[in-house]
Amino acid sequence: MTLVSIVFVAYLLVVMVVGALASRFGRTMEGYFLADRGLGSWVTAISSVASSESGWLVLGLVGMAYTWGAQAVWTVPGVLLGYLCNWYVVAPRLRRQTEALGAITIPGYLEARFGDRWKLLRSLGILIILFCMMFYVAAQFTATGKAFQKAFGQSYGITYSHGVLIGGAITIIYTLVGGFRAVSWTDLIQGLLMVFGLVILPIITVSTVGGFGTLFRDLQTVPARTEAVMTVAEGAAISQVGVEDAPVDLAPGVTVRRVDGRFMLDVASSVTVRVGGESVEGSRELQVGDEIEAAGRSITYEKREEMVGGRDFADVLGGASGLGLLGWVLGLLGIGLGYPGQPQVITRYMAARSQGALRRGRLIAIVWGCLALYGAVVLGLAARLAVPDLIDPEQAYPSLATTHLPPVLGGILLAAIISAMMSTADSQLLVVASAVARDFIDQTLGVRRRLSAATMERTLVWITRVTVLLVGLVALVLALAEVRAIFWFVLFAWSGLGAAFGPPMLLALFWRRVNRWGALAGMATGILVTILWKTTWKAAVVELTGLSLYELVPAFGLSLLATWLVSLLTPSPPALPPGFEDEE
Amino acid sequence: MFLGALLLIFLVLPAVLILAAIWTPLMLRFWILFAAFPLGLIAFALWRSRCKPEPGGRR
Repeated sequence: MTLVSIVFVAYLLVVMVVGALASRFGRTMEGYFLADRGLGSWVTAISSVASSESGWLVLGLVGMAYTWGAQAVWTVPGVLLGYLCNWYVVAPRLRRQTEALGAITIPGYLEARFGDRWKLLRSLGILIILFCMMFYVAAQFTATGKAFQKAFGQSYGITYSHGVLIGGAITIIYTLVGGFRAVSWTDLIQGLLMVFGLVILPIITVSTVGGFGTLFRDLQTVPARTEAVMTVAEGAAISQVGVEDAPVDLAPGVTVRRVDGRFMLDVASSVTVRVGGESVEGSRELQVGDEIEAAGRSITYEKREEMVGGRDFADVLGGASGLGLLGWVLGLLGIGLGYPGQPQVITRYMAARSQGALRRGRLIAIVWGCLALYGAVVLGLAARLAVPDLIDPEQAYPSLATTHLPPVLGGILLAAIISAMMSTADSQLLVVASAVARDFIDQTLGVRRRLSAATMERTLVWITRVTVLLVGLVALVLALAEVRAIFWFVLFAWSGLGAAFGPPMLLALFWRRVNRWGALAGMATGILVTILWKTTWKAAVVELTGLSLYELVPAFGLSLLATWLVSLLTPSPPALPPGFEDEE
Repeated sequence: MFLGALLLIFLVLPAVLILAAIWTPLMLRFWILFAAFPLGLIAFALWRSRCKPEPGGRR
């Protein structure tokens, strides 16, 4: 067993032990879902940021900087403005009002805030959480499987399925056993590991390339990246299919996917496909010029290199101008709009021990964000000089961790990658479970009324644990089956949640006049505009104006408008709930 | 206060950053986004964490 794997196993054991320790608490619903509102400043701060930043931070953002250069930095103010809004605007009021109302979930808060006896807000909230987050959990397990396979595939024969099972099972077990407290405590460890990796590795990589001065100077001469693009010719028609890494259908049961710059043909067992006259079963790597015969079609595979990413690497504007630049910058800055609406993040503020814990937590979260996010961007830039020939830019972090560091440190940094994914998956798993167990089974079906007072809380916690297990198993099966719909749903998750919950939550916290009809309209508008913008409107706007805008920006704006307008057009809310008056 | 905070966070600050990036030379805009913004943010968080809570209202 290598040192790297020993460190890795030690990390997994620590996470399990923390989960087991947390299981001694949480015997009531509030204890299980909110740790009895007893989180200290460090746990509140680090667990909130660790659950919002998934593998996207350590793999995606690093890869983005590697591909696009300094213009990827616009993501960082976008995210940090989101932190600023959450910690200074949302957190203090959310904590105070949810405590006064006895709400332990976001749909529960909206229902109590507006006195919604018809449970419309809670029901719509459950649907949106299930729609956006169920597959999000599966996507985190998918990413965990891939990370395990990359790290230990060659040395220990760990396959993707093994990785999904190990990462998923550990996450499910400690979430199930310890609830919110286990999730928050493990998130603290995982968040600290993440920031450690994103500080240490950039420092080492920047010094490897000759320091900051050299980095900035050399970035100005970096050539743009090219990437393999697959085109297929069918008769006279030529179409491009292989730009994205997600699989693409060539014919029913026949798909093509890009793996490390190569294109693989996957054939279902019931389908007959011939390549270059030979029958193909299972998977086969395509060679340039291959003739593919499938479902009566004859297609020729061609491959060419296409330029991707930024042209001027040292320039934060990337040499772009006009609407193209504006769309890029606004899209990245717009990421911050999603933060007030993420249930897995804002429940942390509800669980803080006191307003003092929140006040101290702000500083910790902002410093963590600056270190981790800038670390990721600087790492991506330095990696472009240190390892310029990576086929997959998202492998910059793992590649540097394994090649440029001693084994123990490399192991810790690899654990940080898995940490990023697990810390998001566990929080999302708990949010989905709370929507099903607390919001649906307990509050909507009214199971609570049928239980005796003596056993009620304990029984409900057990129902919740079974729910965590079932939701986790569904996510595991989805990840193991590599269900394609996962990617489709994940595309909407961040924007959908941010636009559906964000504006109604902000107005519910601060505006007396908002009512349940306004909140309902805002939630429905947020999720619908996200889907419509992504699927149809975006392309139309690009064609018309040349402005390519991230869907969260229009969805958030229209949701805010709908909440405000419908509230004004419908009767005023009858009375303000407790916890609201004393703040005005 | 609420509207002011939201406008400041999601409108004024991004606008200032964008204009600063457009109107400054390459080297300077690099350091604005990579150093001035994060340091300013940390300084703000540090200052706010030292502010005493308003008497009475907040725990």
